[in-house]
Amino acid sequence: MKPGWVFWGCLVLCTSCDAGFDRVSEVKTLRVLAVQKDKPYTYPGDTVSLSMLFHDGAAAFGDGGPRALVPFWYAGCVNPPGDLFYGCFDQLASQNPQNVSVGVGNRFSLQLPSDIISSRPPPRNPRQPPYGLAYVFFAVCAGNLSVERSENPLDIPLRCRDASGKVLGSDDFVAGYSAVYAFDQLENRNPAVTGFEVSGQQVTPDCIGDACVDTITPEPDCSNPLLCLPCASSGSCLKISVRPTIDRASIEPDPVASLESGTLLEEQMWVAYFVDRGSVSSEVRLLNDATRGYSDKFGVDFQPPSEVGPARVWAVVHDNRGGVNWARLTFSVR
Amino acid sequence: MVACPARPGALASARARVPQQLVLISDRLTPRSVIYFLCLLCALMWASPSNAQEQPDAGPTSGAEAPAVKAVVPPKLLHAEPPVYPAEAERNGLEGEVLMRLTIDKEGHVTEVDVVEPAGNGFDPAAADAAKKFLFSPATRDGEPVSVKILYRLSFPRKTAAQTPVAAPSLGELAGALRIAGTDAPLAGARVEVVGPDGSHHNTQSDAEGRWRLQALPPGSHQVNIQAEGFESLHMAEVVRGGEAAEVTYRMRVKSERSEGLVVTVVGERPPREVTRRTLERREIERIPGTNGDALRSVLSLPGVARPPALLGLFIVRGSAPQDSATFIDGEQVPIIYHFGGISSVVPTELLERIDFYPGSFSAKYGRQMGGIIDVGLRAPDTDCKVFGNPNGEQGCYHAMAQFDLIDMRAMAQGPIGPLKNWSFAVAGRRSWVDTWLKPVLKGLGAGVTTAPVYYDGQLILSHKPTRDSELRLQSYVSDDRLEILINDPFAQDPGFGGNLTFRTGFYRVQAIYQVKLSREVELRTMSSAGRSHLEFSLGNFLFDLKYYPVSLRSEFGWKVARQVTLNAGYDFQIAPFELNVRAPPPPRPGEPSAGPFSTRPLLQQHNSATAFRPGWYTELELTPTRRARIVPAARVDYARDSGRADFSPRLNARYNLIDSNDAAPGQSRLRTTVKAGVGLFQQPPQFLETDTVFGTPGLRSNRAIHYSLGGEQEFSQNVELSVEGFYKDLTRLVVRNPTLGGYVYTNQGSGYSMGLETMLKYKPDEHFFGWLSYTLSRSVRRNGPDDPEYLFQFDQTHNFTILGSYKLGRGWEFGARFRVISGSLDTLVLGPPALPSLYDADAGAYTPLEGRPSSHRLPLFHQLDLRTDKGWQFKNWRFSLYLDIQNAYNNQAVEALVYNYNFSQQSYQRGLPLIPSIGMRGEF
Repeated sequence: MKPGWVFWGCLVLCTSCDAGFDRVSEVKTLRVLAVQKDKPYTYPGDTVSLSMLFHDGAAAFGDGGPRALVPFWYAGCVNPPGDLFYGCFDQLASQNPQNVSVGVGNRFSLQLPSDIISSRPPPRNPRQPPYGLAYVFFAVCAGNLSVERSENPLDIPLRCRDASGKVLGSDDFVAGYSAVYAFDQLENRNPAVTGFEVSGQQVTPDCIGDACVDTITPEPDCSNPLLCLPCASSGSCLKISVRPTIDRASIEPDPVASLESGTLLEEQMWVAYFVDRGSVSSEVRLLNDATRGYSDKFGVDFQPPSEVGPARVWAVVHDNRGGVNWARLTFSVR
Repeated sequence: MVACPARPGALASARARVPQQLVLISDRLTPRSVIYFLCLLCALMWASPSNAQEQPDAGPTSGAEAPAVKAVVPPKLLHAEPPVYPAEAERNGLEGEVLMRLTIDKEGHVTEVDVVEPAGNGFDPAAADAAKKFLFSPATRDGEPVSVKILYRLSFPRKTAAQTPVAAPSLGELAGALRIAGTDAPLAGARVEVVGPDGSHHNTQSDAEGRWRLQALPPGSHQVNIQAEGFESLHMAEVVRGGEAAEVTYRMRVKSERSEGLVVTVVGERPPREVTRRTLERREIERIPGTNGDALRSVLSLPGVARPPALLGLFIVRGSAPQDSATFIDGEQVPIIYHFGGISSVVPTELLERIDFYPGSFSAKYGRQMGGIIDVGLRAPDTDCKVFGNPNGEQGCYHAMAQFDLIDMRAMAQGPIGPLKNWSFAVAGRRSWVDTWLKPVLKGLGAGVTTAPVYYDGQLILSHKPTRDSELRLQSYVSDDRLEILINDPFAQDPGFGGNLTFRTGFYRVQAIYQVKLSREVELRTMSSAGRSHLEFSLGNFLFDLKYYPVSLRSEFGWKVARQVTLNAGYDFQIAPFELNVRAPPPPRPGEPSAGPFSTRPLLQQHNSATAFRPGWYTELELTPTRRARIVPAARVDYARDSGRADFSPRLNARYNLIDSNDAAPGQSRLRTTVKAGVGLFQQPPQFLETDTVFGTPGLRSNRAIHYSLGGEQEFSQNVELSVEGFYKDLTRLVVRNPTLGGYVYTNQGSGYSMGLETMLKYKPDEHFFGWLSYTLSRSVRRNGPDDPEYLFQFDQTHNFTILGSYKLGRGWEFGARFRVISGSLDTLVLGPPALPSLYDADAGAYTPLEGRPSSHRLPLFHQLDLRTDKGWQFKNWRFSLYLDIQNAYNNQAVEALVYNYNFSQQSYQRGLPLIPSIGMRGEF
């Protein structure tokens, strides 16, 4: 591995931005915003529960109103070759899969095999803790979901078709995966999101974590003037600084990354922002750096829309060990 | 293939509004702004006048702009009597060279002779006696004859035992070999004029091996005048005897850098031991548009070298991967060749003596690589004394140069070392200073900047010539690039790429080189070096930190066994204690589908301290069974302790002159026609991580390539030459990896080939013009396993066409242009409908592309015009030059990559740099 290549490759990757595309933070289509595991690191034989935060941004722009969307879940692929997700596609497409569990709905649970660690070779670095890996696949389809195998081994064998049989694309069909790691001893907690700050002041969010999965709250009644924006009457809205409040105690050390380091490294953490109307100044902000630690500058400026109506902001907090949590805030543009 | 969240048109407009963006950028440091500044920096550096060079055309008569300087015209030798060869020296087969200071009066007669460098063995009085009989044209100042003193070196070449009879007993024959002093490399293309005792003129030119021959010469004393661009002229007196053929060897001295036309030699497509040779003179290197006079960047205009992706200063030679090629400084391998991936070379052009570029079929003195080789030679310090910029033949003077521009500043000094006889020094240093103004700017924008981008390099050379046949060189060089930035906006496509970014590449070496001619038949060149290299890259919790302390030992013995046989044998040891610290997921490899964002993939870690040991031994035979033929069989044995493998690599190269320019009849010239061919085995050990116990698989064998080449060269005139060469590289045992339970296993199951045709039509520099047209047709293919499909290698470029030229208009003006048309780079497309193009990775919160066949999409054609204008002024004691170098003159922003939106459902092109004008200036005294 040549570090210079990585560096310049990184540069090229980053200079590739801004080619006139829609921003990832602006939810205008069907989108999965996050999937949370109740235990980001778990033990062999344990049961893990997952919940999905998704939003159909197309509903706000289309004329058909909200669409009926039911997430589909699939689990049973354990320790694929190279730990590669596409190593599971053959199993996913199999007509007679074994040890597979499927489910529908916003939540899903699976039990890990008790030999998920012992069934794979030990790490080559004996100081690294052994682990096992299970993939959970999910899909949200604004139509009819079917299992279809194509000739390309990298093509996920799922198709989403509308009532006429037409294959739906990325705007109406999202598929993905979550990697569930099992360790014998290590634990990891999801980041603790405690609320929201607007213009530097604490406000009560619509919901935090799992509570946001099922409901979309109505437009606030302007009991809190911070959330009620008289943009339409004034002709424009000023930018508002927003950010979630985080319990810093949930920022954990990363013992695996620290193994050979000589210094204690922490989790790398970041906040991804999403809005259904308006825009934010950044899409992802650094919350905690593995070597430099906590960064207080993880907030963004929210530019409310000029049209009347509710405007929602999601803040999804990730750590680099599979931990995730979120909160949602709704503004009312008057 | 990359993906990005995008704001409509932002980058495109940003490129067109560079100055405004400095003040309009938002109040936080975003990835885009960081990258933007880095790119801006790169663009500025790329466009920097940091390599502004002197204007060699600016001589004393360079135009009306020159002040009223009284121009001095040096004396020219009109007549010389051959020296009387000391009898004892001739019996003993000795040769000598005497350096004299001659005082020449206004009539051109030598009135005083001082021996400056005696040769002993009776040569000194013989030389003085001969010199007193010389007749010169008088030197003039402003047209008036003046008395001057000059240095004159008179050689007593060893008389060859082979005094063979020739056909016409009343006539004689004179043949010679030209060598570059200090390197003993042959000097091709030199003009040889022999003036006979009857006043007849005989002309020829040295061939690719530096040889020349004139037949049917009348017996008697002959004046031999040799001229070559960039070298000091040589005037010798030789005696030709009827019925005999005499052979002489001359060593040509490179002109001082400050004089016009120092030659930096670039040897292209060069099989072992100078079978094929191309040269780029310094004037060419300085004046190639679009390179800012950077010697190493000029190599990218040669056939066989692919255009690298923007900002990735890679050498891609004949379809090989960048890591298959290596860069050396005087035989010592260095980890990088460019600052910050291609901005400028780590060794400034001013200190280069030569660049040897071997695109394939290289000598057995190089091993462990199966691509190409670049070996950069540092120059000897310049101690020539100058009169108005031109050497006056005296030694012992000091010189200095300082340069300053927006990006970096540099200084150089050189000269003799005080009272130490035959010792000289050169010291140079360069530091970018963009950090001093960029850091406060970035901080003002809210960025966490620990170290703004900065680079520096330095060189120190000490040279000692204890005898005429030996030289000791002690030299040291250092290079360092570093930056450290806190990226507060991680990249939405892979949020693991955020946080604290540290990048550093640095190295230094201390090197001793000793070369000596032990006897008439045996030469020795030995090099030892030690130093330190440090490569560090960290981002978030990812880390690559490699420190190693390489010790290199090289020696080569050259033994002329017989007239037609020379044996070269040597060893090449690399010993490197190292400390490696890696914390990263398994790195992606070419041709592999994306495994998803790095952010949340499990880390592998390795902390290892050990000593790498890679010895090599080689031997070559240079066979010249006839004057037209040259055959070089060779073999090399390498061992790599890290892989535990030994490799045996036989090689064979040959060339034959179908028509030899030395066969010309008196008064005629013949244009050389040469065919050449080579075949050889080249083996490259796996990279260290590939055999690492954590990241790789121990026990791998070396990658292997068989190089085949076949070509020809045809002269059309003294200046115009066409060369055509086809090549084929059969690649086997390539290291690939396959996913397995618990990770990856590396194997030698990869294979592939590169093939192509290289054509170069070159007009060698004359007093007005130089230029060439080159075209490379190539194809490079890989296969990951015997049952896997073939795919085009990611750096494959089908067509690469370059035409360039530069013309001296006079009065200090020169204009040049370069135009390139090159196949677009390859990229990998994501799957199209009905398949989804990506999957959502819930742990990273980002999308993973689902890719189609690797490298299956060719980006649009690259074409670019670069222009350059130079203007120089010569003053009494210093020079001043200006240039304007315009890259991408008609602003065709080339497509560099495919870019996608956040979920890979939309696609666009990432375009490269726009028109970049660059103004450079330099003064020196």
